[in-house]
Amino acid sequence: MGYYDIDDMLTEGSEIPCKFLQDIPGLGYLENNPGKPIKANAKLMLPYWLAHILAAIDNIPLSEDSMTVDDEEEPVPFLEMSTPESFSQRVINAIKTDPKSLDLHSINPHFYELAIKWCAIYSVKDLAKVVSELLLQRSQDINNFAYSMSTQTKNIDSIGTMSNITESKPNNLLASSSFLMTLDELEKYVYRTSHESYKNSKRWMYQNK
Amino acid sequence: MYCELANKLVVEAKRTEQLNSRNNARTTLPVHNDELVRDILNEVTQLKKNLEFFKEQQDIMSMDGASVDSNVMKCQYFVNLLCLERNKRCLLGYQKLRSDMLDSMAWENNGMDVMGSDLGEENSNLTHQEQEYLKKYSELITDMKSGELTDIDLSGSLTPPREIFIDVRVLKDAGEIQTEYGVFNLIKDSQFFVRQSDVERLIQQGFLQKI
Amino acid sequence: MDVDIEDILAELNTDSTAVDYSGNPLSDGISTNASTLYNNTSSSFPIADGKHATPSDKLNHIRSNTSPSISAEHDYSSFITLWRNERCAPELLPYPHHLMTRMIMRIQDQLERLEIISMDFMGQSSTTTTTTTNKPVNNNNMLPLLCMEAELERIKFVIRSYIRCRLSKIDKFSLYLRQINEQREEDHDDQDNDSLMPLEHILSKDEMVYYQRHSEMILKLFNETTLKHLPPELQAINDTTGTISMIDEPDWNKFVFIKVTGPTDKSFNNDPLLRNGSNGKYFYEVIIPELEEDVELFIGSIYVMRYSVIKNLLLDGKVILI
Repeated sequence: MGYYDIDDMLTEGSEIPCKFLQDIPGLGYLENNPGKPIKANAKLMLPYWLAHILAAIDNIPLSEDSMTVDDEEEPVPFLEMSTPESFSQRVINAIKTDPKSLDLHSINPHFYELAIKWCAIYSVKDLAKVVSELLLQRSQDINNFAYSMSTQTKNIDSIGTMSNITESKPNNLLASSSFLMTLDELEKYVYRTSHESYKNSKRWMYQNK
Repeated sequence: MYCELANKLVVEAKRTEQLNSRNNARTTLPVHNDELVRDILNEVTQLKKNLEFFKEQQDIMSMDGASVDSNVMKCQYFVNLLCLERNKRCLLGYQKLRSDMLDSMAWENNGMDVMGSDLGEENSNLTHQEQEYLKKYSELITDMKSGELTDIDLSGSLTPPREIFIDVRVLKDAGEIQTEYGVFNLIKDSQFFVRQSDVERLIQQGFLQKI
Repeated sequence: MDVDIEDILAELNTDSTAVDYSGNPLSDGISTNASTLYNNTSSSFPIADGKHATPSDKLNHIRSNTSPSISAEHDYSSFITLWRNERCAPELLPYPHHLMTRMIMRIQDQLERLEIISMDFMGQSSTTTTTTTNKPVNNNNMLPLLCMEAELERIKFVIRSYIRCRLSKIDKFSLYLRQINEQREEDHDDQDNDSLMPLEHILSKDEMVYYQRHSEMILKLFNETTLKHLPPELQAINDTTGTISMIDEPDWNKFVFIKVTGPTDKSFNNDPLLRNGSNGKYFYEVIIPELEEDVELFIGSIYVMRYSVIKNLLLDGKVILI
């Protein structure tokens, strides 16, 4: 998480359904209507990086020399975000029924990161619970995969001596690669890390006899 | 919609990142996407003009004392500003990833001038500024290696040494090398038993392979 | 590093063959050589003691009594601790200026010594066989030499790994380092603001140069490619007012494994932070802010904690990262 974090930039690029609460001239280009104003109640998809700011600000002075803030005026944010498809009831139900076989990557490749942001803004405790449970469930599978992959690649690494414990089947490899395709970026990171550490600990154990 | 191009650039950066995390061999930098970056910069120029326009309008309005539409004006201004910020972040992110990769390339090349070496064709993937940067950074590494830390060989291997002497196979002809233990004539496909620290450089450069 | 062959062998005994070392003619040469080193610890090693409990050792005692020099062995183990700490900590830890100077000095000494010894060998061996060709290790007498060389390679590796780890952190946090340095300068008049260390303490001289030159380069690259195209108010590289702060800070909440070692001088009674538990064991008390929970860290035990919780104990050398 940082300014130069590529994954974070991609997460912020996720589109969120938004509804404008005020008429705003000149923003028609946001809904492919350049030159026209955007009307209150207009609904459109906006990337998170734009939407979450517009949903948060209402009366912020532009710069030091601009007009003073009207205190009397009821502050109304420019727009309102609604729950993105990634966290819709449909997805939540799917998560609850079968967390392990879910193709999370196709739902959102940055599912967890967006969930963290979303939960932080709206403090949705339910979602937070579901998502952390989801990761817990799935990480067991990820861990198993990382482990079995590390025993399979052992032959390639020519560590020897233990090579007859698991014989690598091409089927397995195929299954695992399709499994990996369903992981979101955070899960892939978890997978990579655990795979690496399994490999390293193996190497360490067998090289020291 | 603004910033869609920037998104493309970030996706490309992500792919680069993935490709390089996969092969743990040498860092390879894909070609700099001049065209996309130029398009984004054009967009930035456009946004910059908009921003100035909004500012002017605001000045006019505040002179008139009209504050009715202030909120609305702000929104346009903000959207513009946010788009600029987003473009900035994406551009810098792309450039930062590339400069980080240039850094590792420089370390892998032991701080030697990459320009002069046989990496010529890879250099066409770099922009002029990146080449300049790489050259300077390589110089910096060379300087860091001398001085107090000369004996440490900063760009040496980062895997803990197991043996002082190792078997190596020659992958490319490298001519004769002189070590404390005699002269070795490195002809392709021959094998030698040598001191690791003597041939570290040649392994890194791909002349020798540890067996 | 110190020349003690025992030390070296002890280090190596995990991955090299056990060597019956007593009576090896080489040890003579080495330990006489060693006595010229400003801080030799050979007296603490039984074999060396038995064989050469002679002037050189007395000399060592005198030396260690008169000048408070630190043994190479001690330096080595503290350096290994520092190395481990640096690699596990999210932030850049202060640079051990004195320790490093001593380490580098010893390496240089040892390198010179190695050269002298191996030159002797070359002289000897050329009269017998030509060992200088492809198989250099057929001479049994070369073994200690090889051990020394292996040990040297290892120490060089540790230092290299340490410095490279620091350089990567310097790269990562260059803007953050600049920020804390500016803060410190602003607060300069504040007498009680000792929490921020001057950059010259955190970084070595070489690292300082590296830090300055590298951030300059990056800035130039960013400027030419991106920043100069932006409106002036967005050209900053250290803007913290935008939606996302541009300054990457160390992740203070990173989880780390710690081992509680207690005060470096082992005088448990003199450490005001140390408490004595009901079971007679000493512990430090830390507070985990999120849970509002006090945790007792017993000496000798291992814990997993957020870095921010144990940061100060680490900087005081009371816990180590593992």
